[in-house]
This record gives sequence, structure tokens and C-alpha cells, in this order.
Amino acid sequence: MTEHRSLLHAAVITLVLIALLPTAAFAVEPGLTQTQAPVTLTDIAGRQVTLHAPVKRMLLGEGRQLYLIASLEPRNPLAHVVAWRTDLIAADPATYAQYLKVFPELAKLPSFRGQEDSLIDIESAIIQKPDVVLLNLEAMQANKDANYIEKLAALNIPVVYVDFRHRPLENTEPTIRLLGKIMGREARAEEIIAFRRQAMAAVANVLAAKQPKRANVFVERIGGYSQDCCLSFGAENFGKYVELAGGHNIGSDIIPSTFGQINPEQVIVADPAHVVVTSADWQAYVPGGHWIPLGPGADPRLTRKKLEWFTTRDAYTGIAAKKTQNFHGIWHQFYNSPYEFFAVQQLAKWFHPDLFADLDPNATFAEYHRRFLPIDYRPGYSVSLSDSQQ
Amino acid sequence: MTDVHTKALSLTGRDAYQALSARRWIVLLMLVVGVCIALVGDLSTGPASYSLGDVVRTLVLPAKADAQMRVIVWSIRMPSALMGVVVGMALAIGGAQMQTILNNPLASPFTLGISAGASFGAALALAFGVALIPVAGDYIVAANAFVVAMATAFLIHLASLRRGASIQMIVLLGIALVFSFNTALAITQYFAAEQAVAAIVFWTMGSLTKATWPKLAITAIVVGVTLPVFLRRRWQLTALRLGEARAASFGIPVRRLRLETLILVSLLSAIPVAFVGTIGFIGLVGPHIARMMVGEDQRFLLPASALTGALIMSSSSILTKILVPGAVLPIGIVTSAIGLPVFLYLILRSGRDIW
Amino acid sequence: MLSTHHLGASFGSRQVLRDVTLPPCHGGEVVAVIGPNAAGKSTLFRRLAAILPGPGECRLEGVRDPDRAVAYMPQDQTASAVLTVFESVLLARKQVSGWRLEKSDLMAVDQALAALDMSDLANEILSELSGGQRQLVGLAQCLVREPQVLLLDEPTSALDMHRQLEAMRQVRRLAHDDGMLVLIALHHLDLALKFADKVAILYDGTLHDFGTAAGVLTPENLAATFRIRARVESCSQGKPHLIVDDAI
Repeated sequence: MTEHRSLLHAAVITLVLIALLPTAAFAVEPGLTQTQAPVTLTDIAGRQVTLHAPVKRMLLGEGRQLYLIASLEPRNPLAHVVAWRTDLIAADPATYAQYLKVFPELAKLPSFRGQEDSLIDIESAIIQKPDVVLLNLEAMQANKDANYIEKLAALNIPVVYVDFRHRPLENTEPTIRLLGKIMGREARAEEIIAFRRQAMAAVANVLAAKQPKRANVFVERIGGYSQDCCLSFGAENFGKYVELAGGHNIGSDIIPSTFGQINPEQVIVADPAHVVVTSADWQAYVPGGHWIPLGPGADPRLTRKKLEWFTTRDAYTGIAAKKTQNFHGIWHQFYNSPYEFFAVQQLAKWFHPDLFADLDPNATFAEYHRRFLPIDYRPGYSVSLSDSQQ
Repeated sequence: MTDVHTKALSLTGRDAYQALSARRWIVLLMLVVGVCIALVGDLSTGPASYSLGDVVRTLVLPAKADAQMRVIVWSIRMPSALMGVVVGMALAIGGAQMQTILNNPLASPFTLGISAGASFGAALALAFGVALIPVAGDYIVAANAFVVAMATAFLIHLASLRRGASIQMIVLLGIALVFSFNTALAITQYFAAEQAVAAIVFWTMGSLTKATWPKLAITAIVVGVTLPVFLRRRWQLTALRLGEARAASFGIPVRRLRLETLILVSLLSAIPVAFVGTIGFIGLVGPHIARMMVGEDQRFLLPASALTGALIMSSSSILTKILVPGAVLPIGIVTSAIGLPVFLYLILRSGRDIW
Repeated sequence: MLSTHHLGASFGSRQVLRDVTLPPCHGGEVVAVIGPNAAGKSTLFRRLAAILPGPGECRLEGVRDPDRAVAYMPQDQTASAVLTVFESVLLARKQVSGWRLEKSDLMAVDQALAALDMSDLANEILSELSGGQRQLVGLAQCLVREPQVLLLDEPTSALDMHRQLEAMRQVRRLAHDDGMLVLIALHHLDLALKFADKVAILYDGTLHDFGTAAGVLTPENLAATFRIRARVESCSQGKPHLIVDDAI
């Protein structure tokens, strides 16, 4: 009788052990991830957020956040992304194509639609069981109205606000640092920040030392997208980049907000020494239009030819830039990405070629790609008619 | 009644009418002068502060003027100023005739959904590059706006052909169309990229900076062709305001007249909107102001509406340049800001001599 | 001279006028068209004015210009617009007299207004007139077109007694002195008795009877069509009057 009982005991214990095996497997997770621990940090909106870092399941409230995620985790950026918003695909198809080539699984990533600053689909968000939801700062008001934070908090899903568009020059660095912390890649985040700082300092230091005169610059926003003239930027965004590059943005004095339209006459009166056209390949929106197909891998002869058309605009009659052929074209998406250091360097080189003869923005960007991104650098983000060719 | 007495009184009726007509001619003349002054004012205003003398010299002797001044006055200011005049005329005439054939003081291209349709057509082009008819890239937005606007007008006409279709029904249909197109527009904006949304919003506020010489020519031709056609029918059109029964009793083919007029009014509304975006209230308020000054007789009402519309547009154009110097303020904002109080005043005023 | 053969009209599926054959009426006559509500009087006039289509034929002979011969004054005179009386009568005139404004047009308007004793109203705005005054304007709009056939649909309903009689006197003068054929729809049977040369009774869309006033306004006809017990008798001054005893 006791023999049977012992056999029974052994069988039960074996069964229990077998049942516990999967649990044991969970306890020791192989691979890159470290053990999670609760961490409290302050996000870009100044909120105190507690979450488990490093996160394993991120939900990207905006597609472009992928750029930064990829910088921090180039080998497998999608490892910890469970869902994202599809705005990147429509807004920046060129870059999306580059990522898709390297990470075909990006196409199958669970996604939800909508504008960058509109509400995310909260149900899709919840069913993905994310560790953290990354939202754009611009969406804050809408989310407050909809009580999204509270709803997600009830399910223990923390929300972190990030920003690299609203006030890119102030918020991009803290955003990178923040992401580094929640992804467990703090060291790398610091490397990226250092690189960006150095790239910007390469311009700022020279300008501070030499104090050159600031020429008038007109930035033609989305050149070739519509027939109107002359769309431009106010004191933010590209307007700010121009100032950092040692120029004076005409739009800063006239346009009250970030985007606006300037009277063509006003451009003539301001007599800019440089005209910078922001443009991209907009065949999908304006077939056969005058836009310049700038972007990764653009054909330099084609972009130069399309840039030449802009010199014939009425608004540029008789201005200084025409006499010196200081017409430049730059990829429009720099208005909305964490790579503004390239734009600033390139602008500086155009505005003050003698001061920045040794600066090579393309090389800077190439190095960034090499060190931090999983995709190759393909030049074609800028073009110019001036003598100091890129 | 003796013959002498009769003769004396007939003199009064006829003479009074002629005196009235003379007064109205004077009003028209003053409007013409007003438009000319506004036009010159529009040509003289701008970030490049040129004196009036310089502008006039550049207008009269362009070859001798400074190259920059010539480009600014002739290539930048002139198309936009003339476009303002022509668009003002087109919208006001369209509004006047719409109020006439529908016998409704609130009828205008705006309130019947034609402008809303045009906005939707333009949004399709700006957001998705959808071209409703195959045209060159530059003209897709305008072509789309035009096609949808005309389709809307056609829809309204089809509805009016139904047996038992009253004027009230048509006006209500127009309002329903406005709501429908606004909804469609919102949907389009939801799916559009950020820059497209900004472009759409700007388009719906209207802007004379979109004016080019070819667009100006087309609009001017449309106005130049429709105005004589309307003037030719002036007695019949004026009679429509006495009511459908009375007009029919005069032997007027009311249905056919309405259809022909609607087609022309559609052109007059769709083309300016396609070229410069939606500009509100000119088609509504212009004719009412004109009617207060010269009465219902189309002989005077048509030219007066056209001139009033042109005057409001030109003045608004000047205002947009003064209010926000250097930047481009969409003119639709100014015309609405001016038009809305006038509109409210018209509604609330209980006087008899406005409708 | 006007006559009709089997004139008909329908609204949708409803036959409103059936087989109306009017014997010839000549210029110089006043023909009263009477009948109860919804008898089809207005519809008949619209058929005669050629603004309503339908079966049957309306024959017009001996006129200068068939297109301009008939002037129709509809019953509804409530429309108002920012037009003076002079302008609105001028408007009617210009429908038949060409594009340019001639002196003869202005004179014709003055004459039409004077004929109706309305000259002092010439500068009033339509919307400020009383109902009766508007009816006079409607009448003036017909007269100014110098028609040969006048179709008047209840032109006196809003006028006071004096004006009604004056208007009917005008109508009779237009017929007897100017040679117009006047067809006038009336509610007041007494006016028909007083001023009409011929009377047509319409009942339920058909022509019930046609003839002189005395011949048509019989107690039998009145009972059948108007459903009233009435008779025509001479008064103390020997003039015929309609006396209504009761509704049936």
C-alpha cells in the first residue's frame, strides 16, 4: 500500500514540476533584455511618470518616433515596438521605403491611422498591452479632453510625452535622453546627444567667433506644392534653423506663427541674398508639378534642373539672390524630424561658404547613419545653384 | 376727370419715373468712380511703398519705369487687383440673379452649396492629387473645383424640374448640400497630410494672390458674355420678382428662363471660386446693397450689383494689405468680416424697401 | 372672337376641367364666368391664356397679333417687390414692346394708370399698397399691353363697393367702347347681373350653362351649381337683382 502512495507522490511532484517548468523559463529570459525595474521620470510635458524600464512593448503614437527608436536600437528597432501610427508612410514615403527594405516586418506591424496630433485609437492601444504609450506633445490637449491618460492608467499603461517637432531645438535632446532611459539605452542616448551637439557646435562656435553679417534669407515653404506664392516660415522651425546658420529669416518678422504666406512684393522689397526652397517628391499630390524631388537618393541633375525653375518666379525679380545665383533647395521633411543638425550645417555652408569651407554636412549625416541608424545614407537631401556646390 | 387734369397727372407719373431713372444713373456713375478709385488704391498699396505718382507713371508708361517697380505693379499687383474687380462682379451678378430666379433674399452661390462643392473638389486635389478631369498639374485644383461646382448646380436644377418643386424646396436643398459638402470636406481633411490640410484651409478662405493673367482672362470673358445676355432679358427677369404666377401670366416661359439663368449663374459662381477659392458674402450682400440704392429693375440692379461687388472686393483687398503688412491675409476673412454685420443689419431691419 | 372646343386640363391624376366648349364670344362683349369654389374658373382662364397645357382647342380669330392678343390677370396679386407702381406697369408693357425703352412705353403706362384713376399712386412702392390697390395695379398691367382679349380672374374681390362698381364700369367701357372681349370671373353674382352681356356657369369642371344673364341665372341653375335657393326679381326701380333666400 505505501509503495503505491509513494509512487503517487512522485507522480504528483513530477507533474507539478513539469507544470512549473514554463514558469521557470519565464523567470530567466534569454536575449538582450534586462530585468525590468520600476523607474520614475519626468517627461517632456513635465509630468512624473512611473513605468517599468526597460520597456518591452512600446506603442508609438507617431510614426516618426521610429527615427529615434531606430537610433537607439539600430539592430532591431522593432523588437520592442508593438504598434505604431501610420502617418509616416504618407508623410515621408522615401524614408519609410528605406526602413521597409531593411525591416520588411515593418509592413505587418499592427497600426492605427489618423493625424499626428489627433487621438490614437485607444482600443487598438489597449489590446496591444503596451508597457508605455509614447505620445506627441501636440496631442496633449486632445488627450486631456478625452481623459486618455486616466483611462490608460486604469489599466496600468503609462503615457509618456515626447517632442521633436513642436520646439525641436529645446525638446529633442531631452526626448532622446528620456527614450534612452525607458529603453535601457542611456549610454547610447548620450552618444547621440553628444554627436548632435557637436554637429551644431561646429556651426555655432564659428559664428560666435567670426560674428559675420547676417544676410536676408527667404525660405520658400513647400515650393512647387501649390501655385501660390510665397509660403514661408515664421520664427520657428526652418526660420530658427536659418538664424542658427547665421542668416536672417525674412518670415520671422512678418509671419506671426510657424507657417504662413508672404506677399510676393514683400519678398522683392526685402531683397534676400539667399532663397531656400523646401521641397520633396510630391508626384502623388501634384503630378507634374514644379516641386523638387529631394530626399534620400535623389538625382542631383534632376533636382538642380527643377531648382532652376524657381529663379524665374515673379517674386524673385531683381533680388540679390538672383544676381549671385544663391538659390538652394532642401528636403522639406527636415521641418519635422530629429535631424535638423544636417539642415543647419547645410544652411550655414550656403550662407557663409568661406567660413565653413571645411564643413561637410553630407559627411556628418553619413556618419550619423553609420553610427546610429540601421539604414544606409543616400545623399540627395539638398541642392544648390550657387558656386559653392555641395 | 377733364382732359387737362388727366394730362397734368400723366406728366407727373412719367416725369417722376424719369427723375427716378436719372437718380439711378447717377448712382451707377458714382459706383463706377468708386470702383476706379478703389482699383487705383489697390494698385498703390503694398509692402513696396510707392507713391501714387510713381504707380500712375508705371501704369501709363511701363517701358520707362524702373524694372522692379514695373514687375511689382504689372506682374504682382495688377493681376490680383483686376481679379478682385472681376471676381467681385461675377459673384455679385451671380448672387443677384440667384435671388431673382429663386425669389429668395437669402439665395447666393454660398447658400446653395455651389461654393461648398467647389471647396470639396479643390480639397480632393490638394489632399490626394485626385483629378476629376484630365488637365495639366497646375490646373487640377481649379478644374476639380469647377467640375464639382457645376455638378452641384446641375443637381439643383434637376431638383427644380420635379413636379411640385417649390422655391422653398430648392433653397432647403441648397442648405442640405452645404452641410453635405462640409462633411465631405471634413472627412477629406481627416485623411490628408498636414501640409495638405493647411493648403485646404487656406483655399477655403480665398486669396487673390492666386490670380494669374490667364485666370483673369477667363473670368473676365465669362462676365463679359453673361452680362449682356442678362441685360437682354432684363424685363423678363425683373418680372420674375412679381411671382411665378404673374410672370407666367405675362407669357414668360418661367421654367426655361430659370434653367438658362441657373446655368449662367453656375458659371459665374463656379469659375471665380475655382480660381481664387471661396470668397463669401459678396454674392449675398452685394446685390442687397445695390437693391437698396437702385431698386429691383434689372436695368439698374445688374450693373449696380456688379459694381458694388467689385467695390467691396477691391476695398477688402486694400484692407488685407493694410491690416497685416507683408503677409497674405486671406481675403475671404475680410469680406466675411465686412459682410456679416451688413447681413445681420439687413435681416433685422424691418424696413420695406429692401426686398 | 374666341371659342373653345372640348377644352380640358388636369393636375396629376385629377381632371380639373372637362370638355369645355364655349360658343363664340366676340369683341365688345363682357362675359362673366361664375361658379362655386373649385369649379375650375381659374384653370379655364389659364388654359385660355395658354400657360397651362391640356387637351382641347382654343380658337382665336380676327386678332392683330395672336401672341399678344390675350392678357391674363391672375387671382393672386399678393406679390411685392422693390418696384414702384409705375415701374411694375412698365414691366408688363415691356413684355410685349421690345427691348429698348421708348417714350411711347412711358405714355402708355401713364394712360393705363389714368384710366383706372391711379395716377397718384404712380410712385408708391408695391409692397406698401393695400390689397385693393394691388388688384388695380394688376388690372393696369393687363391694360397697358393693349390686348384684344382680357381674362380677369376675380379682379375686384378686395375692392370696396365704390371701387368695385367703378372697376366694373371700366371693364364695360373697355368692352363696349374699345372693342375688347372681356372674360371676367366673379363671385358677386349681382355684378354679373348688372354688367355682363353673357354669363357662363362652370360647375365641377364642366360648362353647366351659357347665355344671357337672365337666361342663365335661373333658380334651377343656382340650386344645382351654387346650392342656394335664389331668384332674380326686379326691384322697385325695375332693375333685376339677385335675391338669395337660403342655402340648400
